[in-house]
Amino acid sequence: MQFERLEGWAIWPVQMKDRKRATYSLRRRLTFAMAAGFMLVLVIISIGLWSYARSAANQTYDLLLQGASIAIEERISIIDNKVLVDLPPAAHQILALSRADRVFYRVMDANGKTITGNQDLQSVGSPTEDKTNQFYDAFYLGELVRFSVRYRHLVSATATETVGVQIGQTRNSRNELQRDIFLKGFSGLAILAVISLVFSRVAITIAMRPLLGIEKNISQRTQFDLSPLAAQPPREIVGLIDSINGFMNRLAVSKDNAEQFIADVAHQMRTSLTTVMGHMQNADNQMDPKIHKASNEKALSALARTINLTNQLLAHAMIMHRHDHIEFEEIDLAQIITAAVERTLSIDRHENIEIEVHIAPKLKGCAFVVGDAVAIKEAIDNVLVNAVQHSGGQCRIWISIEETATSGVCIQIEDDGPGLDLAQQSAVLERFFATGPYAGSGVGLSIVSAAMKSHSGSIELTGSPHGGVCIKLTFPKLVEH
Amino acid sequence: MVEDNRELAELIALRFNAEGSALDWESNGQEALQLLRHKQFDLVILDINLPGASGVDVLNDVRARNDNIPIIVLTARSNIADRINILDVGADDYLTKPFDFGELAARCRAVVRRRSGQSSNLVIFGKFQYDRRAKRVLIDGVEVELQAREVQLLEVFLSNLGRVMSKEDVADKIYTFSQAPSLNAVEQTVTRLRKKLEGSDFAIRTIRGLGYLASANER
Repeated sequence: MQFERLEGWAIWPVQMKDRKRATYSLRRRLTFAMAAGFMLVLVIISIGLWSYARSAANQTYDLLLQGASIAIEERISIIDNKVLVDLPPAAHQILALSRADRVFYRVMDANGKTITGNQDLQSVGSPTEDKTNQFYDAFYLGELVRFSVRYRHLVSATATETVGVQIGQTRNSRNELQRDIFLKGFSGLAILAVISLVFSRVAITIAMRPLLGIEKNISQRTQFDLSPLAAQPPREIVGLIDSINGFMNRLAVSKDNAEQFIADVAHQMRTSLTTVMGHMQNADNQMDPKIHKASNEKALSALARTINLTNQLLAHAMIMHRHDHIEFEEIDLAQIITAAVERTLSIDRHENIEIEVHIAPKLKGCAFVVGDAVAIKEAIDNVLVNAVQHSGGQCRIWISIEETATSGVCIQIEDDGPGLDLAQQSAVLERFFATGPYAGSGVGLSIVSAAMKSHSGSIELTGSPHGGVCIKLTFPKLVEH
Repeated sequence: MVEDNRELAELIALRFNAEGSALDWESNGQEALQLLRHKQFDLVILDINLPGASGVDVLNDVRARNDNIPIIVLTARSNIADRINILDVGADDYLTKPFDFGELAARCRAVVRRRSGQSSNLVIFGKFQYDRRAKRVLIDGVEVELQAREVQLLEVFLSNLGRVMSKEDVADKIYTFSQAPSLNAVEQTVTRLRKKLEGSDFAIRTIRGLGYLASANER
């Protein structure tokens, strides 16, 4: 299982998480938004256009009504206190200009009483107005009809009389004209809207082209090409390009590290296995049973070292990549230390190791940090194994857990072993750096270092007053309870 | 033994036969599962990655039938979570590959002994021997006189082998509520017991700052 993980990671350091793919199209969204906008504008303009067309049609045909009513009015006279109407042919001709319509008329007095014409016409409007046409729509004989009413005060020698002329005309020509005006205006607008939409779609496509270029650039790359994107990005997506390039750079660094790690591991493993092989072949060629046995023993111990190296390398790879997919949880450092002490003592059959633990009173039972229990366990185990190993299996170890001044937690592990040349401090944290008479695989402390790094903690090596090494592991934040 | 690697299986069989134990080998998990349902064995050595059914499936099946057969699991997974899982589903012990063949044999002996010890109430570690029913300790065949408090303490340590116990834990276990537990008294009892068990293969170690840890030398 770990091998699989190692392989996967070796080629692609970053696991591609299953992310739910967004499937909307930016272009379609923009097009829909613009189309909706155009529709709204079109509807508003259409409403305006419709009422404009109506009033224009009314104005045009109202002139006919006005002309006719003026012509009729001219021919009304009062003779012997009687109103006489003599309908002029001109009025007929004017009204006949609108061929599709029927016309109704009457002449009435100030009280609305019909003097001549269609008796059943109703009149609206006030007779106080003089020589002004009043226009309105009303139903007559089940049809909407446009009416004009015009009053005139007639003065004769003996009397003053107010006479009204009411003319009605059906709306057919008016409606025709209104529809005509509206359709002409609307079709122009609609064509304009469609053209605008087409243009905006083209504009969107042109604006999106740099993005598609990036997509093409990335998708056409081989998986090993992590060079920066060469595209000249428009100002709006410079940030995007920069972060893609930054990401690719991190990927490249991570990949280089992985390659370096694999090369190192391959070298170490092959060397170890070659040593084993050498000892075995050596034993095989020996006739002398004593030397044969000695070679065999050397082969076994070389094999044991190879196994240890393999385990540690796998642990290292696991820790470096666990934090990709492991959720951190609250863990009690005292518990982890206790378990590590149990493990260390379980291999010490002859009571050669003595361990002393000091937990700051304030932290008893609550030395919690947020982290990965497996990684921290590996780190502490490796520090203890290191201490035991470098002292040849016989040592005293002092462990303490304290709160730091910045409310972090510090685990300090000291031993009375041979200690460490302080000049080598930074080197011992590197992979495959091993030193001293009981040198191990050189992976142990780099595991500790990697584990602390993934917890944003730090590792510090100094000399211990007890003679050996003092390793300080600091976790940045203590969890308060 | 259930193990799908033929070479490893043959090596283990060789070792067990040399020590005078008979070993049956099965390479398929599903077939092993059927076999365990119908035949009696003294001990099962079980690999986790198996064709047919995984070692965990086999374990689950055996324990679901309330079969108490001792099982030692071989695993290539060194992850703590995996190991805890293996113990949780009912393995008696586990070994991480690669392992020492001598250690496998020792673990097998220990598991079998622990099982028979439970039934006979006899605990044996090298020179150390304890009879639970008679509450008697023998070292190298010689009986050691123990006070009642010391016997209590010994039993607490025996059931917590290899585990760190704080003084408070120990006091809680050997004193009742009505007795005032005194840490000093615990210390003194431990010192006395330790002295009496000196030279046996059972030892109680002090870890300053944490408490005590009892360890037994199985070889």
